[in-house]
Amino acid sequence: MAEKLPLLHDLLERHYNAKPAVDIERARYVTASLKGSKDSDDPMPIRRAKAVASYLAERDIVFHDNNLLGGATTAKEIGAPVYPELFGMSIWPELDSISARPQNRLLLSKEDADILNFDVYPYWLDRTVVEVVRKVDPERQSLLEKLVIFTITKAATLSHTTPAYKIVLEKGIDAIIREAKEKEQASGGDEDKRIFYQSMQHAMQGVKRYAERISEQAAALAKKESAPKRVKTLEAIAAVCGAVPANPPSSYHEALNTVALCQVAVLAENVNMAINPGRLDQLLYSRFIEDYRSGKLSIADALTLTGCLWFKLADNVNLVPEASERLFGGAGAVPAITIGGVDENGEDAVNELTFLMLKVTELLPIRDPNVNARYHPEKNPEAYRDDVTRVILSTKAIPAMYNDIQNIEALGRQLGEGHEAHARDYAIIGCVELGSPGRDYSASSSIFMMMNTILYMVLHDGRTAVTGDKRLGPATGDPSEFKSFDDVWNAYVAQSQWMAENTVAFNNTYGITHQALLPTPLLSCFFEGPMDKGMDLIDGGALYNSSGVTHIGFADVCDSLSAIEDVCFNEENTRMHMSLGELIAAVDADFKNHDKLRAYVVNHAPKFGSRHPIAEKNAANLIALEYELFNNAKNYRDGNYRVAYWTMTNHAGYGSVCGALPNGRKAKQPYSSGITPASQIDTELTTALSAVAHLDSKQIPGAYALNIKLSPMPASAENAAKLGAVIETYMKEGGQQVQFNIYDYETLKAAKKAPDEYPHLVVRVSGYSAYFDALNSVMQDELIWRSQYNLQSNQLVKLEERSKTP
Amino acid sequence: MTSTRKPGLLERFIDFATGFLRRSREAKLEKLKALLIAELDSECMDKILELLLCGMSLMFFIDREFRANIRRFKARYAFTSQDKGISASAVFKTSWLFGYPKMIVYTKAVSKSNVAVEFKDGQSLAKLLLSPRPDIFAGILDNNLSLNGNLNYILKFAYMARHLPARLGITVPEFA
Repeated sequence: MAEKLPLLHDLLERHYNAKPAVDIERARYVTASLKGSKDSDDPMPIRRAKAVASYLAERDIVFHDNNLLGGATTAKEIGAPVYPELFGMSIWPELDSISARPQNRLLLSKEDADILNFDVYPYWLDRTVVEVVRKVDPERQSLLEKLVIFTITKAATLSHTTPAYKIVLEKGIDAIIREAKEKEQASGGDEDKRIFYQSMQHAMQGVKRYAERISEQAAALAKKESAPKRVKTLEAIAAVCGAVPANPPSSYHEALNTVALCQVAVLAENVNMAINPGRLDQLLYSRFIEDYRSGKLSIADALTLTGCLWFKLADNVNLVPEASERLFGGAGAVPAITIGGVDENGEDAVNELTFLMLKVTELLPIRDPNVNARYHPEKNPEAYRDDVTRVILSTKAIPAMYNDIQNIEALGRQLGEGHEAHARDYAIIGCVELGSPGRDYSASSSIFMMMNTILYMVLHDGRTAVTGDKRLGPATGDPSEFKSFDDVWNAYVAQSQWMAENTVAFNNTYGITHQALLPTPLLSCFFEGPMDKGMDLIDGGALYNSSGVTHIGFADVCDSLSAIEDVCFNEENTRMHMSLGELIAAVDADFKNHDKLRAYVVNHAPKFGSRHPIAEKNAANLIALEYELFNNAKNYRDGNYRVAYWTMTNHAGYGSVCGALPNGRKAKQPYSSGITPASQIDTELTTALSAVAHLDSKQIPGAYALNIKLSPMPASAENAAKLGAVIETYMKEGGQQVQFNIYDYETLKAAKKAPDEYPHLVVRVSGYSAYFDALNSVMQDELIWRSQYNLQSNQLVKLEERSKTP
Repeated sequence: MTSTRKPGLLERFIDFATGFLRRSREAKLEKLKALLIAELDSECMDKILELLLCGMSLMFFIDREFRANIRRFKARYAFTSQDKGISASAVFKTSWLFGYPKMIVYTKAVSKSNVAVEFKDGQSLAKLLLSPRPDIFAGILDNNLSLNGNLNYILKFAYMARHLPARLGITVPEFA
């Protein structure tokens, strides 16, 4: 790459060597603006739009490197922006030490720390979303703060959605401002609409001014610069940002910069978590092919320019306090790019740009952006499928693959009859979730359900480990009195209902608080619906509204139910039989002095992933139950809740602080990730894939993360085709998604032991990519512990110490 | 330009009085350092809260830069051990005299606190407020710590508390 694409080579080196830093600029401008307007008569949508616009219009213009695109998420080369209105204050205790902390350190100067400490944070002490919610519902807030009962992510972010940058690419921001002004003038006496249209204009003026200032600054720097190459770069940026996003792009270069600037703009208003550019090979194709065919753009230039966008999307990370490292450490901002699949008419959408973006992904195996390849087994060419698998083998992790047949059907049922075209146009949100870009305000990471907590409540008559004797859920009876497995299941249903009702109610409380405090006029400009309805996205302005609920501990809970059924209620089981009361006592004792029982449940009880009929039944029942509980529940925007099974790093983090389970998982061990069968169960690769594929994907409209680890193999055409064929079979059986780590146990163990010898080793966690050395120890262990399969033999490669805990 | 004006009698008196008080409090803080080191080394740490609050209070008086943290800061913190054997409070307010910000320590838990901390033992509290590797999760999940009220106030308090060992040159263990 150094010879053929020198700029990308240099940018990659810089990216790897850049030290992430806390960026206070957004917090400073937004706080100052809101402080200044707190006594004004402006309603909150206007105040907030002005605050975001003031940041965009006045922030520092920086050119850290020779990237050909203008704009940056923060003033730092890689920055962690502070959003004090949500969780930005969580680093307060470590302002003096965050630059030196052992894991994922973030540089912060004394001057910036003082600004946060004295100017920014005091304003927000009583104004954060969490503190406003606490006044409304202190009881549920207290449960949330117990950490392991449930998680409502709106305390920290909303985000998790895919805007329609298509709107800006097609008409430009000037047209959006004009339209909002016309609508404002036509809104008559409707005060809410008038305010909303005004707030849209303020927000877009901020974006426009930001681009203009980049253009001015680049032009000024070009005049002072002597190196001809640098002059050319700066002049190009000046020209591009002088034209877009105010106007629609007229070249591939301008189109890419439009996307970069839109992304920066959205992150000025919304937390940098899973804001996704969407289907870039579709959005940018016309500009790309026009320039390419007219000879204005060479393939090398196209690769370089596209790579420049990759680095722009990767210029920010989340602000994670040290105390949360064990749960969330190592995650990027997860902007998801989707390529391939079918178009809105259901026809093959794979194009030349799809292949080019795959090549860029191969050349730049970086944490962000999160690249996802859609594949329609009946419509997309095999050559595309095998190029995707070749890139997976080459990068050892990227991209993830999605089955168009199942996902379009699952999402289509959510969007409703007559909206199939919008479902066919789906893009991935953040980790794995499905959404129709720019139409579907999905907030797909709203609730994290701890399935292990529900099971604990079943086995302890509605109590949780962290609340002790206080009963939270319904009294479902002393489990030692249960007469059959049906009693266990009925109790599970009752406790799940309690959990679903409470999480939905509390998520809605948070949603209503967001509506009052955090209107999103800027993001609303990049969606279909708000302009026509005169309504902010947060109030339900989008065409489709939903919230996402994902689940932690699926395989472990499924296997635990199967173990209970097998050991306590299967009279034909002569090898291991005991009462449920005895089993619970053994589990609560973390299997101490119960080695025989643990050995049995680990090695012989039915396991999800093995196609054992008991495990299949329990898996199907769990999936159906969660769908039923949430699909009909209403969110605060009159949408429903979409069930998903992805876990980020939470399965490892939460697992590390929770007690044992009846499936033999000992206390403080990680849970299995996403929908993935428990690690080290003795089954073949295709059997494990088949078990997941047979789940009813219509009941998993938010999608899932299936993590498969394969023994390393060369990225040859033969291996790529073999892997492609296995994936195709899995998809034809009904699988929705799959992602890979092409590493063996030994490599990951060695990388944990000597991280400096394995720099920038990219792994798939549970929906996104991460650098192995940036993950906490628990998550590293989970990745090592994951089942490793040999693609050629289809067999599990046994971990020598498999009987030990990870 | 440096001012050549001589301080007036009142100013000289205030300088003398505050200087005297500062020196006496610096001496107290130095004594407290030895106690804090011993306490952090002990098993039960049952005096940690008292020492921490007293130390912070002295530091606010002595150190102008540190005192800037509580300028115009009004807050009430209540600390109680789970067995109710230890109680204390820190109240931050502005003195009516000269608008001087101050921290007042009480040996009981005040009502109407912005945040109330209930802790199992001194080590649980030290993990929350002083540890260089704070592990609030473990504290909450092991039922060693319960926080009620506005947690932002705890974040601010922890930031300020961490300055005490830093100023005294004490290395706080990670309490693994």
